Amino acid sequence: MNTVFYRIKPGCLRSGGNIDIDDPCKKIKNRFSETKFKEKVAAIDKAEVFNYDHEMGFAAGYPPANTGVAGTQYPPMENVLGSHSVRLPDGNQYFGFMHSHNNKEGAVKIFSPYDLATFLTSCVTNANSGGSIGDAYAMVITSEGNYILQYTGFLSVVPVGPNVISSWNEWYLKQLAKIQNDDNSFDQDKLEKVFLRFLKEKVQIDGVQLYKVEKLTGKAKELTLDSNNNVVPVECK
Amino acid sequence: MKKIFTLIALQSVFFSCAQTYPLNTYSDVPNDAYIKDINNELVPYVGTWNGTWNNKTLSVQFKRIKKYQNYDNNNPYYQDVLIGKFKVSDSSENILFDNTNLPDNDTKIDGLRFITQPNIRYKLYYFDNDICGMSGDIYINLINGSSSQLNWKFVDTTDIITSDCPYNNTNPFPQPLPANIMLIKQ
Repeated sequence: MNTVFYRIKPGCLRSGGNIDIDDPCKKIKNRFSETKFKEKVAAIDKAEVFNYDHEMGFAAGYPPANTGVAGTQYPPMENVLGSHSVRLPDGNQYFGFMHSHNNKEGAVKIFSPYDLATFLTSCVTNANSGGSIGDAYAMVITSEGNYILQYTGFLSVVPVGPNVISSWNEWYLKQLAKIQNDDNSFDQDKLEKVFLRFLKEKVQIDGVQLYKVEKLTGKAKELTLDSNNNVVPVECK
Repeated sequence: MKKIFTLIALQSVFFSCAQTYPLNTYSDVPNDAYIKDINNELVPYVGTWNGTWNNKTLSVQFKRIKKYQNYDNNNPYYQDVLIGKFKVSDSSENILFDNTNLPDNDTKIDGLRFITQPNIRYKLYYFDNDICGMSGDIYINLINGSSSQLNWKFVDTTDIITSDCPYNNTNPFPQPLPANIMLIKQ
């Protein structure tokens, strides 16, 4: 699963270049202007879906070449029978995915380490080879808020193997145990902070950005940490 | 001079002792501090527990260990936790899953904390690299204060399966642990 990729850093002007080509805010805004994208989000963002005993999702893929098919394709991420999980379809055309995190006991309503690993090893890699790295995204849809991961790194190695994920998982779950309430619930602001600390202190891959997206409008804000690890939202313009 | 040596010796002893905190400590602690099961709250769960579901038998061993928690390199500490190792067999006693030989510091089931509302339960997490990162939360509590019966609840939290998972097209997906079961102490 090791991947090496190269790209031009957003904002680096080259002759004839476009500084906005991979602006995550514009990418998110563009997605929410697509009817098909909004329909897929709406299909997941429902109380009944949050109460399923398994996740639900859609992958986002580049249209197959030489078929006349145009636009992003959104096949369902099928539930793995006998499991809580969903399956990213086979193929290297999938540069994004959206999925639910349900209202199960002790549910963590933000990305998991495995979501991040899938984003980096599948979406970013596929976007890099099939389009632009800035196309890559992961979205989690929950009853407590919707979030999107974007990537703006420009020269990175993404060494995400099973042992790395295991180590990420241990860090994440043990930090979550510290902020968990006595009734097994989580305060969403604390979850956001732990996830951002996870990116900063444990993952340490430059360019992974977390956005919170308003459910009705799709309006996004990047969530970052200041030097004291306070969460600072930065509105997309 | 003798007093000075005594003072230095006492000071050395004082500073070499790691600070000890109770098990319900969830704030950050100093490096090498010890979050200790002072009241032996984990002890009733220690032992081998068996139960059956779907014609399969789960035998899980819970052990209390003083774990060196170094998941954060900048803030390692010691903590008393329960760890779990398990074996699952079918009705013909074929072994389906067995991780009882794993070292104590690398088990697939690792303790997190007590949840106290609405009732007291100990929470552990399961993570299995042999099944494509299958994961979940485990909750255990003694039934009505019994020392021989245990409620077991497993909440599957496995997220996304990708095509490099060897079980990607396995139907049904491996199910090493039961969702809800009563376990009997052996």
